[in-house]
Order: sequence, then C-alpha cells, then structure tokens
Amino acid sequence: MTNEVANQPAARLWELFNVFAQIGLFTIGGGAVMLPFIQKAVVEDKRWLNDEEFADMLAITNSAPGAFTINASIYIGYTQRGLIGSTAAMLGMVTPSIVIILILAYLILQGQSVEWLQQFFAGVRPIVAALLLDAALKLRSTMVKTKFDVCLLLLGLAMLLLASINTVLVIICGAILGVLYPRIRRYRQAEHLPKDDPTVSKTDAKAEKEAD
Amino acid sequence: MQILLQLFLTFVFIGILNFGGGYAMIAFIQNQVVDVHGWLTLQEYTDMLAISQSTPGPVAVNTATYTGFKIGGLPGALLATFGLVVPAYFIILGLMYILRHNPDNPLLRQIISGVRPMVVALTAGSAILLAFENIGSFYELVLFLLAFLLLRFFKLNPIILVSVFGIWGIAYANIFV
Repeated sequence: MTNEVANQPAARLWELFNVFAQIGLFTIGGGAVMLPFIQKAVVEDKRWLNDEEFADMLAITNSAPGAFTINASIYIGYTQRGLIGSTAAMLGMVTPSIVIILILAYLILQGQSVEWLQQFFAGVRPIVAALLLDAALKLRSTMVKTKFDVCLLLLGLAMLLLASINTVLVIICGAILGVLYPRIRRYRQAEHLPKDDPTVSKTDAKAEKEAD
Repeated sequence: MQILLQLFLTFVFIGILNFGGGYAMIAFIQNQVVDVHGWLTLQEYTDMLAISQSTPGPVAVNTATYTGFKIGGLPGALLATFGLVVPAYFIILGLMYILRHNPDNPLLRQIISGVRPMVVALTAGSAILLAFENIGSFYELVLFLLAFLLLRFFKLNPIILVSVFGIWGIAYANIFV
C-alpha cells in the first residue's frame, strides 16, 4: 500500500478524468457492471494499481456506503494524485451520467420519445451478465487463494442467491469470519488436535503467514 | 433557495446511508424522494428507474441528477448530485488513511482477507442474477454466449463490446422486427 506509486510517474489529472469519464460513459446499469471496465483500465492498461492493490481497493470500496463506482474513483484518484486526483477521477466518473440524464430529463419533461435508447439497451442487456462473469473469473486468481477463501466465496454466493441476503450483511459476514478463522485454527492446534492431515497443516501455515 | 438546500441535504443523507450500492437502496431513495418529500410521483420514479438502467452511471447518481433537475433546474441537478457524493469522500479517504497508517495490522488484514472472497461472490452473484433477469429468449442467450466468448477468449475491449451490441440492438429493432 505504501509504495504503490513509487515505481512510475503519477497519472496526470486530465488522464484520471478521461479514464473515469470513459468508464462512466460505457457502463450501463450501474453498480457492479463497472467493475470489469475499471479493472481493464486501471490494472491492465494504465497499471495504476497491481492485482493486490486492486483487491484491497475492492474490499474497502465495497465495505463503505455509497455507490461502489464513486468510491472506487475517489480511492484510485487518491492513490495517484491525492485529494485533487480523487476529485478529478470522481468528476470524470459522474460527468457522463449527469450530461446524459440532463439531456434525457429535458427531452422527457418536454414529452419526447427516447425509444432508440431502449433499443440500444435491449442489445446490451444480455451481455452485461457476460461482462460480470468475465470480471468474476479474473478476480478469482487474486481474491480467492486458500481453501478457506473458496468456502467464503461459496457461502457468499449461497447467501446472495439462495437466501437473498443483503449485500452489506454478506460483506460483514466475510469480515467477521476473516477475523475468527485464524483464532479458531490456533485454538484448535493448542487443543492438541492431531496433525496427521497434511492438507490441514499446509493451509494452516498459509493462514498463519497471512495473520502475522 | 430553501428547496435547493433541502435537495442537497436529502441527498447527503441518502449518500451516508446508501449501503450496499445502487440497487439495495432503490427502496430507500424512493422513500425519501416520493414518500417523504413528494418530489416525484411513484410513476415518475418508476420511469426514472427504467431510464437509469438504460443510461450510464450509478442508479443513485442518475436519480439525484433527475430529481434535482425536475425540482430545481440545472443548479438543483448539480447540488443533488454533489450532495450524494460528498459523504463518500470522507468515508473512503478515512478508510484509506486507517489502512495506510496500519498496513501490517493483523486485524485489518484479516478483515480484508475475509471481505475479498465476498466481493468475488457479489460479482459472480450479480452476474447470475442478471443472467436470469435479462436472458429470456434464445436470441438473448446467443448474444450472452457470443459476448462471453469474445471477452474470455479474444480479450475484446468491453467498451467496444457494449457499443457494438448496443448498435446491433437498434439495428435489430428497426430492420428485423
């Protein structure tokens, strides 16, 4: 986290604005849909964040209130150019929405038809799921490493899809289990748990490493 | 003037309590904008949601801009949107400050390590929910599979993908139907 901009020059302000304006312009439907676009621009093209930093950014911006995309633009802008950078990125993110909504609000309040927009969206709607699926598969390599991570992922999916539990509770549940897990492991080891299972001790070592 | 201040403060309030992103908060924004203040009728709010979903940007931002414009013109639109974004600044920069000053704090690392897989779950979960919601015909299934193939194996830029499929949508509606 501390030396993420040390090995390359910081982004220019117009560049921050421009990149997030493009993201803001092309992500229809809001929320998580923007994730693949941000990932492509920030990690793959501009290399402002590496995979680990991107994973931290996602964990934090998803835990905070507010639209994830606004949070992400503020966070990423700040890592590049501090407060001014976060403002440039955030303004880039909201400018396309504001301009388009203002035009549409004007047209609609005048009583005009915006049917072509619905037609455009009819073509885009089925592929939004494909965009998200691709993003989830890309995220998996940095965000899901241990067996415990896989369990959390499956638990999260079950909570969302089978029980329709609020996303905030899913995040909080992950945070609590993340804190409890190393403690339970240590406790069970101290309680003379037989160490005959090689896979257990292997993941143990990993978990201990992460915890310390 | 008073109504502009009220708009601004209402959207600051929505920004603070807007947990779980756009869709989770649709009911809460509706409560504030339709029930409490009566700025939009329920019909207008529903139409606005449909527009939000077919235009770029977070639903909350679109709602703020639309409501602000209807109530207070251009200044209203900008103030409402600004109000929505202000709390995010303090919260995100505050969280970043805590993380940067305690990069090796074990408790923070454990919380983040627990949240990370859940973010993947949220992304995969919304992909699955959107697939069920938006893929209702064979034609839509073909579009979905084609898009997934182009992304996964040909690494096509998502921006190009959305443009092409959107223009195809207009062409399809006007030429073939």
